[in-house]
Amino acid sequence: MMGEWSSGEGLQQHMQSHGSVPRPVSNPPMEHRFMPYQNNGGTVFAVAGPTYAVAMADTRLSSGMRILSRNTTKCTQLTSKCVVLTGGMQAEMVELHKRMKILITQYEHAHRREPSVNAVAQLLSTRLYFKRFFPYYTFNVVVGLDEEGKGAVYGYDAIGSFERIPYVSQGTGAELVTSVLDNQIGKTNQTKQLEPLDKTDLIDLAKDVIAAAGERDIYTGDYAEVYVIDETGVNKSKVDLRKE
Amino acid sequence: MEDCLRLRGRRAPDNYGYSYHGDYNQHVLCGSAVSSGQEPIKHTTRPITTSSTVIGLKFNGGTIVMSDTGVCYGNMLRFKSCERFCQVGDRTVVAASGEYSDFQYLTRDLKEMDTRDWVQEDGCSREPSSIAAYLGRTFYGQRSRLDPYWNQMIMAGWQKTSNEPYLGYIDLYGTTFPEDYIASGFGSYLAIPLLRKEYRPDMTEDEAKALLQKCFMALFYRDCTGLSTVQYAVATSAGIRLSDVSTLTHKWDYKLWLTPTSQLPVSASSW
Repeated sequence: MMGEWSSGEGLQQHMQSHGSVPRPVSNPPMEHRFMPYQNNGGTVFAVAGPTYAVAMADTRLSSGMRILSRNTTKCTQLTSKCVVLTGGMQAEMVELHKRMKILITQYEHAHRREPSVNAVAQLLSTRLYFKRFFPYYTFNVVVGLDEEGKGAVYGYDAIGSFERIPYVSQGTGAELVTSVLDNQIGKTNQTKQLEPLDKTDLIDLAKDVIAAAGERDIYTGDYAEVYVIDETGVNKSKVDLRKE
Repeated sequence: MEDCLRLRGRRAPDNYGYSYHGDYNQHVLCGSAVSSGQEPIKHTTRPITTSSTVIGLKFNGGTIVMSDTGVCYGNMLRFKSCERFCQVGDRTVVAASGEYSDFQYLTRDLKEMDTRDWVQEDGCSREPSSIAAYLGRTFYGQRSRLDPYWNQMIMAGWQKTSNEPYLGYIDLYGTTFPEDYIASGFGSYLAIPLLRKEYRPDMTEDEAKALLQKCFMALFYRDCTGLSTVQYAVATSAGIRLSDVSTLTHKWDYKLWLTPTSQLPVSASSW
């Protein structure tokens, strides 16, 4: 059997007579290839309020089953009322955030004002789609206050599809977070409609949600960075999470 | 330098006195495609001559980073006394694990940068964090060309502006971050648990050195590519100190190791 299809002629004859592709009988050449992507784990999410927005990201950085760092940020403040949070691959996150900062600085020099949150959101989408055929392996959330002072949250996929939504979560713990946010904030298909949460309750809920993700997702934990963006600006704090 | 980057692992045809692979410029510029019907461009798909663990940690008043001096060819310990440190400027030192030739190339690249800085004669020197950012971009750029520098680098230094020690990590994907203690290679499995247990930010230099030696002993006993000859560099506000190579004292005649496991009670097995 070995070498039966080694010449193209034999293969062609076989396909003509049988009308199907035969199973290869000789070993194809071994191909070693560098895989340029890795998922460094982590969870990010954000919730929009009427005059504020809350965003959270854990600070664990993993590679395979190893924790590389317990205190590496996934967030970058881009303007005085806008933050970007990224899950996925850390190296790409660093690159993307650097590029966003450069572009926003250029915008400020050109227009003598900082871009609005929806301009930043559109810019990120364009940056991501620019690399459509070698995408950034990043899952982003843009959060801030829009020009009317309302909380704005934008969610993305890796190649730039995005939408403005009331809340969004990304990263390895996204599924765990989404279900709680659906229940507590989206209040979808529920028998009893409760009052919407106020600001303090929302922040407390967000802290509990990421703590819950840290209980079940091995790539989420250590610390969480909390961003509360309101009329006073971007307020940053940190909470402890499970460290195992 | 851009030319050096593209030519890594290949020499310009002029150096050979004849042209090879057809049109040289087309060859180096066409990325991963096949150049004019010639051989495809070859990328690093796996490391060949590799070195293993580097461990670094911050202590009270500085940073220390230690490595053994072995470089392997596959599973053979081919080179036993290779220095794996590269000093950049007056207060940064880079230690590498992974492909040794990539490290040698990067050493040359960093030294060139150093020379360009020196030529300015402005008395300025780069911060360790700036050099880490430069290396991080370099690594990310190469990984994006699908031709990575196959290294994990640990950088130690002293930040002049904030007057504090610096310790950073860079890998072949372009992952970069600063940390209090970092281990690469086999040490990321064996040494990290020891460091988690015994590391304190207020350690003295001697305590830090002793902890690193302990880690390298564990590695020497269990990592088949590990060596007992180690070297370390210390970064403080006074600059960089690179140690001589020293040999760790090791001991193999523990009673437990000499007794066949068949003669031991199950609970006393060395496993």
